[in-house]
Amino acid sequence: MSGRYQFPDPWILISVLGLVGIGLLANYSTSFAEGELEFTHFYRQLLWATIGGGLMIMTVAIPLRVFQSFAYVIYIIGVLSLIGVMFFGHVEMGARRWIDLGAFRLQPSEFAKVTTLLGVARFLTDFPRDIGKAWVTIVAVATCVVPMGLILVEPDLGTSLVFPMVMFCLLAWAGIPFWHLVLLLTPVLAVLTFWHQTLHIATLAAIVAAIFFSRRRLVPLALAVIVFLSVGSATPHLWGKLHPYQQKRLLTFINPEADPLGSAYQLIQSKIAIGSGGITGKGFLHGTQTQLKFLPEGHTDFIFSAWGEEFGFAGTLVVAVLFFILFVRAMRLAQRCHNPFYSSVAAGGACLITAQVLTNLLMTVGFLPVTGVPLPFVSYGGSSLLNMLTLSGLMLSVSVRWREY
Amino acid sequence: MANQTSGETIRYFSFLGIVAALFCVLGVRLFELQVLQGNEYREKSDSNRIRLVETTPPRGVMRDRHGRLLLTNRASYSCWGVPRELWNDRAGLELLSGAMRKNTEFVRQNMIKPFRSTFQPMRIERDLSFGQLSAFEEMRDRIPGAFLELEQQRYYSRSLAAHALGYVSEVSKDELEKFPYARVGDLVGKRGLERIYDEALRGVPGRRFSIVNAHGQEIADEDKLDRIEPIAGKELWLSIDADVQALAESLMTGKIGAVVAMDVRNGGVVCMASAPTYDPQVFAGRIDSKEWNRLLTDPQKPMLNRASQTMYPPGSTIKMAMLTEALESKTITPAFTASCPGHYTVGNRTFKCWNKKGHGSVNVYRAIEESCDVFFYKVGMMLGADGINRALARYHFGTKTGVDQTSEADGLIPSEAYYNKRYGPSGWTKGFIPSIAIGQGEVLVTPLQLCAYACAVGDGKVWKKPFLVSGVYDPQTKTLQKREAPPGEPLSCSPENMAIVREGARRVVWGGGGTARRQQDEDCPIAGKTGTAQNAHGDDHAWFVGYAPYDDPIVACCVLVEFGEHGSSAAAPIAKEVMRAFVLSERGIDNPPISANLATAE
Repeated sequence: MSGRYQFPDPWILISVLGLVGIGLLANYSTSFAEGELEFTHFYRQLLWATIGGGLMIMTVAIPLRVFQSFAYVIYIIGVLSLIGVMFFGHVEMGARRWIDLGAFRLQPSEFAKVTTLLGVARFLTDFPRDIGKAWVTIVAVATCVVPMGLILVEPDLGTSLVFPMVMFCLLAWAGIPFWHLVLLLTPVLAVLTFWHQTLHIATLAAIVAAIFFSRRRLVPLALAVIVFLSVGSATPHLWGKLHPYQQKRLLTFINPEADPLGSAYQLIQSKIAIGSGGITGKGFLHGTQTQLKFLPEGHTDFIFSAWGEEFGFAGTLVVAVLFFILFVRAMRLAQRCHNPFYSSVAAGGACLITAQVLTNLLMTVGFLPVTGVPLPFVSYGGSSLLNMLTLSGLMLSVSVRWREY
Repeated sequence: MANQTSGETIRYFSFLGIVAALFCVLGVRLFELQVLQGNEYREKSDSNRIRLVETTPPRGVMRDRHGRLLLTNRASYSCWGVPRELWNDRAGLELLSGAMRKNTEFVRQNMIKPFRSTFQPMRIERDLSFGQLSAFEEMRDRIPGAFLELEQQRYYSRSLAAHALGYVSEVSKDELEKFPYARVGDLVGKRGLERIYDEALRGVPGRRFSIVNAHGQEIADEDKLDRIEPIAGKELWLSIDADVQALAESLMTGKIGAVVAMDVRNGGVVCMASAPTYDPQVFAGRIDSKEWNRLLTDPQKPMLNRASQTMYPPGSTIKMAMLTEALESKTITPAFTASCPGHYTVGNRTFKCWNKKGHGSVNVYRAIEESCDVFFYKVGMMLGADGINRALARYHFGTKTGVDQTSEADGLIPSEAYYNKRYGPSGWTKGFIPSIAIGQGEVLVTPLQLCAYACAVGDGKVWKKPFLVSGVYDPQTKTLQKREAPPGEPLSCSPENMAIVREGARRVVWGGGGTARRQQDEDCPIAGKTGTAQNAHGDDHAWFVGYAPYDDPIVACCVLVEFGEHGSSAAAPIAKEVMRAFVLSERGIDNPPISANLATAE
């Protein structure tokens, strides 16, 4: 490597390796709890971590330009794999999410996160002069909505929700006009606030003010108001037209995990596990909630609760800080690198990881509904770990090549 | 991008700021849970476990038109278990199965195994007997994974109207599609009103979290905030009159058949009895499989609701419909007479009148009064197949009435196409017409359809749709949601023609030669029509349809007695008693004495 290249960012490397290590420890503990004499979970996770490490090194070794050139191809492969799942997928608990490869299963929706990120990042940097025009925003949104819709019908609400979050971050990072961003948020806010009249009106006022003060004229202003009012008034109307059982059916169709009895129980157990950890935790393999198996989904979505019980506030703080460092370093990288595609990949990657981290962690402490988003690097699951390590490889690759134009 | 400094810097710091703020929220929350409330949670996690208990609301009751309970609930104990705990606790499961008098391996493999990874309790046994209850209480310390819950079971205060009310039983896995709001093991309505109004009756289950100690004993309720109270099921207020229903059922004891009565003023069903009946209490708790099998294999089919699910030829009762159509279509005039020599010939077939001596010259009134068959053979031939079908369709035969009951039968109006299908390409001949015109042969009706028909003749203007539920009462909000009587459909008959038909029906009871003249009762003057349906399997079926009082009817009734031979002697007395009871009760005279008339008829 000539002088143009740098050693990969040590902070990112340390965070990723540290989090994978924490994940392995936590999986060892939940394996122990399941009474697995062979520690199946743990060894499988170790295997995935090793393969993922290899993938990460390979990703760093491949010139980033290759990913840039093939970004659209990669994006299309991602979409095709999602379509493939619709036809050949393995059904479990009412959802068609996995492709069965004999010894193990892959979850294309996990990989679609990175392939979509590459596709959108490439598109947003292909037309630097047109950023700000409506068509760029519309096409970028459509590029995200296609894989998101395919995942939504699997159905897998948790995974599909990550897409609009990352899309929003990428668009914001690419520098589309402020009022585009506000307009994108408008229907979401209209639906989320319809149940509370004052809040609903206040939100509308805030949107109008935001667009007005970004010195925009009548058209975007009127557009936002129309979208807000029509979506807002249609929501309770459409919802109210449904039978209570249809509403429930719809809710469980969109989100099979949303069994109200089950998720309330999970949440209580999660809070007890985390809270009972106290400051220093109960000690490795000594968490009673985890070890007595009161904590459901202890090795996947609620692994942070198992960790929090055994390692306490000290342990949870370490996890939170590592994730925060990862985000800050990746954003710093995105800000200083020269190539806009590299910048988008680094920022999008940072946002993709952080969106999932916050969704998962705020869920385990009872601040967000139970949606089934895994904790990156830590939760048990091959597809998620491979995907996250590949993404880390891309970010490390940016840190090696940030001087390239 | 480095040269677009200001915009990019703002973006960079916005991103950092938002994410930092969210991480701060997380950090503060972790501090709250782990440092501030750590000890509290430590206590909860140390010796106790949290249990999720689903609380089942009482199912809605059913009341008759005077508010008297027809169907209510009684308290009973159910045994619940946490599958995940029981799966891992072999000794406990063994004790539990022993107490429930069940086979341990069956419980383990068939009940627990499919749910072994869940923490959500499942019902192991419903409606425990005293023996099961005390056996469990003795050992509950050693079965921490199981617990008792007080639940409500159906209780039939008077064991009336078993068929119309229906019954509940556990939903099976295949049925979950039909009951999207139910979970495996829930009780759901399977037939009758229980089925049709299941969603309103069942209410909404609640849930609570309780803290239990290592012995499975409940110590306290977890957070009140996480508690959801169950919402009681809604009550059904029926148009049925419990006394009339009881009278009808007692009159049908030992017979096979059905009694249906309707309120002529709105179409509400006053009684719906099917005999033989069964004791609905059988389904209320755990179903005794012996009793269940007996009910299913009984050749008399006691589970069948003969009032709405079974079809019979209507016999002469149908003649009022034929006369209506003949007058209305101007096929005959009110002055029309036919001579009856006792028989009638079409082609090479001869049809007999029930009166072999013949009725002589018969006008429209006598045709109904004395039920002259030859009159209707002739009128039927004049009407033709289409005219007869119109006559039947006018009174909604051949289609479901739309009553709020399950598996209602359609009945059958045989068309020419039907005969061609059944007896080959040229199966239809005019020779079929005379039989259909007097309600024999292929035409089929349900007792409920005949009652609605009598109700329409009594009303004279509108065919009314029968219904059982007149209101749904929500005990939670104390509000009654009245169900308006369905609009029904106009008969579109001239009042003059209807007056002729109704006069014929009056003379059936009050005329000198009427077939039901023994049912004359000044307290409750009835009108109606007898019928006798030929039955290939034995004695003829006896029919009576009618309404009372004949000048301003408030009740219509249809009685079917299978193998009763003659409508006049087997069915008419029962119909009279039922209508009399209702009319007197509506007038405010309670407990009408059973008249001597019935004794002679028996």
